[in-house]
Amino acid sequence: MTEDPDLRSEMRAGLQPERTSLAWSRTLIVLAAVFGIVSAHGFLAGQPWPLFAAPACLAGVILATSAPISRRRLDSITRQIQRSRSVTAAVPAMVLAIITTSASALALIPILMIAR
Amino acid sequence: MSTLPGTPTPHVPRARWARQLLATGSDPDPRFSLANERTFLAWIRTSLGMIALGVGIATFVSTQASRGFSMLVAAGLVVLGGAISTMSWFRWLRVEQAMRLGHGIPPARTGLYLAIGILVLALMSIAVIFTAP
Repeated sequence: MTEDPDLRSEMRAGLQPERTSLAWSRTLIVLAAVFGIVSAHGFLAGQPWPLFAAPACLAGVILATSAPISRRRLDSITRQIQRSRSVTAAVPAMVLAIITTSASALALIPILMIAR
Repeated sequence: MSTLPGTPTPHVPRARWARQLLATGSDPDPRFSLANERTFLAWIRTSLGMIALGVGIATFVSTQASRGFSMLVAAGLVVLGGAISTMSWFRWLRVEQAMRLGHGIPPARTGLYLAIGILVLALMSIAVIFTAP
């Protein structure tokens, strides 16, 4: 076992940073897929173009940025562990929860319009 | 927190609530924080799955006879998905605070709400299947 405390804490974390980064990657890909499904539903239901164009754009942006975001998170976790600082990602977690809730609201609009 | 000369300034979030959270108690073991983050992400994926299922039902189950019920089930799934994503963030925050203060993990209520919601929607789906001509 190494005597270097920084290296020791990094070794103790093991594959956890990688697993967390992969979890972000999976989640963002699923989020992009959901926005794609919402967009397709809006298109098939004959909704006004902003209702299917906006989710389609969001799906593209999220898909394009999913790899850089997860890579950045991996770098951030590794750096924070090396410096013995908190790895808490408070703001990214809140932003993701807000985007997911927005996806739900966006998906609800065409459903309610069809039901009416 | 004091820093040694030459070391980079630690990242401080701009949001006041995030600063307050980081100032609470002491930093837990990174493994616990990361496990909490992954659990939050798993809840988000669950909620996204429910939203996708709701939109799928609204798109593909649209026979005239069962339309009203189907739309109700679809809307229920989408609303439940949105509610779970919001609740999962509050759950993440509560767990993070508890870990920082050295308290036990608070009981999870989100799972109970999810189970009740799915049960209600499943019963509604069964009603749709048996009432359709």
